[in-house]
Amino acid sequence: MEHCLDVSELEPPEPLERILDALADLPQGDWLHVLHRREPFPLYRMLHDMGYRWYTRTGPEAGIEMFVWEADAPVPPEIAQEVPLC
Amino acid sequence: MLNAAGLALEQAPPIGVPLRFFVTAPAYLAAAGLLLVAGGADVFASRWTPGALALVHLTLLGFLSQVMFGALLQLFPVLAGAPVPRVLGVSRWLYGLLNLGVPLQCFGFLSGERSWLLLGSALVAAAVLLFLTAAGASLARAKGDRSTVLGMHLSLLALVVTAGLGLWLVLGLTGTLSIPDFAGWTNVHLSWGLFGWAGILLMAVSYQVLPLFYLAPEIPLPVRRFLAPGQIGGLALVVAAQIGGLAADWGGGLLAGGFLVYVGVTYWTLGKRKRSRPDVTLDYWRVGLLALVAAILSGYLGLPATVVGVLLILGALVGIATGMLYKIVPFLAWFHLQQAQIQGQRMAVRVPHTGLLLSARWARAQWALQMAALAVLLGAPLGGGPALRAGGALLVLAAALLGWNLVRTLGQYRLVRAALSAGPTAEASS
Repeated sequence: MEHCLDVSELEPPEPLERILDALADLPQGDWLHVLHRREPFPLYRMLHDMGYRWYTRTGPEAGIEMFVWEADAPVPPEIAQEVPLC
Repeated sequence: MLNAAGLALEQAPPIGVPLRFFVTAPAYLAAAGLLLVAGGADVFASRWTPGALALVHLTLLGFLSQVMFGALLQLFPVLAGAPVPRVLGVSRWLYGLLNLGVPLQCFGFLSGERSWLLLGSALVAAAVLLFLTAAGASLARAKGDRSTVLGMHLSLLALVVTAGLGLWLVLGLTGTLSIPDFAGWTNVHLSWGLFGWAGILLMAVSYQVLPLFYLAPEIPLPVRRFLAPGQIGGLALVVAAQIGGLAADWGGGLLAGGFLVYVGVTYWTLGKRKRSRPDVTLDYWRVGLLALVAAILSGYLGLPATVVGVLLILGALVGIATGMLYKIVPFLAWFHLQQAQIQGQRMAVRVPHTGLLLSARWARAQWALQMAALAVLLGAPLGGGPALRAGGALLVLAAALLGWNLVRTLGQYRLVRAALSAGPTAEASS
């Protein structure tokens, strides 16, 4: 199930705080759909170390959309066609 | 453009590196306040009184440069992608030399003891030399935003000139050397310190920090590119005027014009923030920028030097540095806790948000005290000694509360850090 989070208008480090909080509360098998004003580069290393996978694409308006899911969970269906197999 | 990819947070030094400077700095502001309480009108009887010299150096070296050294050891790797070599050792020696040197130097000013003044100044000069060596080695490899890196280079150049002139003036003051037009060269020393070392660094850091922390639009590229070199040009003209052959107004005019452009553009960008909500750090920025303009106008209107100095030093530079401390310290605490949590895979321990690591209410109370100190000290030409003593007392309270707020954040950090380091049993019971 998707959990949507809009952090596009928050001041740093609130976007990171909210995303990490949301991940801590994320039920197994669910994924996070984040709207952000720009790519959260500092988050990527954290996500890698925490065992998550992510996919970032240009958002519907300005900014970006980011999907985050546990590494051993299936890729969210909305982006299944876009995410390169690895 | 602000390049988030270049914001290399993983290259940040250990939290103790900047924090030891940040937590110590308020003690010097409190000492400056105590000096005003003790000396009253005597401190500002002229700008050459022992009290006035000690006050300026306690504030600009003990507080401001201390914060700037700590912040730069943190910012070089993060903003410029250039880690400081041997940062732990450098920061310990820098901290020791500075915090031994400044008190001794100020004791030398106050007591008139030549040997203490020379020893203290030599230690401060050694601290500056160490910092410049480390910063130079770091910036030589800088690859971040060019206007910020250029500004950092130019502010370091200004630090070289300020420190060199300062040491020379100390030799003159102690009678070791004879310096013609001592007052004129003191003005040059002060100009390079205030407008170059502190002023240009303020500009350079704000180019990145304001869009990053406050979601303000970026300061336009031509302003970022030409302002800092223009200020160095203004400072060079100040030296040319001192040596002779040029009207003094040219350098001052260029400096004042540069800062007015900077304040105008920066104030405009802050007004265009995406999200506007009360923020004490932003209030420090706003008051600081307005105080900078007021200082320039006061100088041109011929108001007493006390008013210009209080506006420039306490209102603008100390104020903005205080605001940045409230932004940086909780952020660093949160960031290092987050890193520790991930590295230790201790996801059961929740890392508190920055809003919980620093009490907004107490930060606001501290802001009110500092603004009250500023207002009362600005009234000194009318209120005389009692106003200076009252302003000094308010400054002591403001500095003490600033220190307390920062120490409390550090305490919160240690508490959570201990929980993150504790064994699984402790975690289960937390």
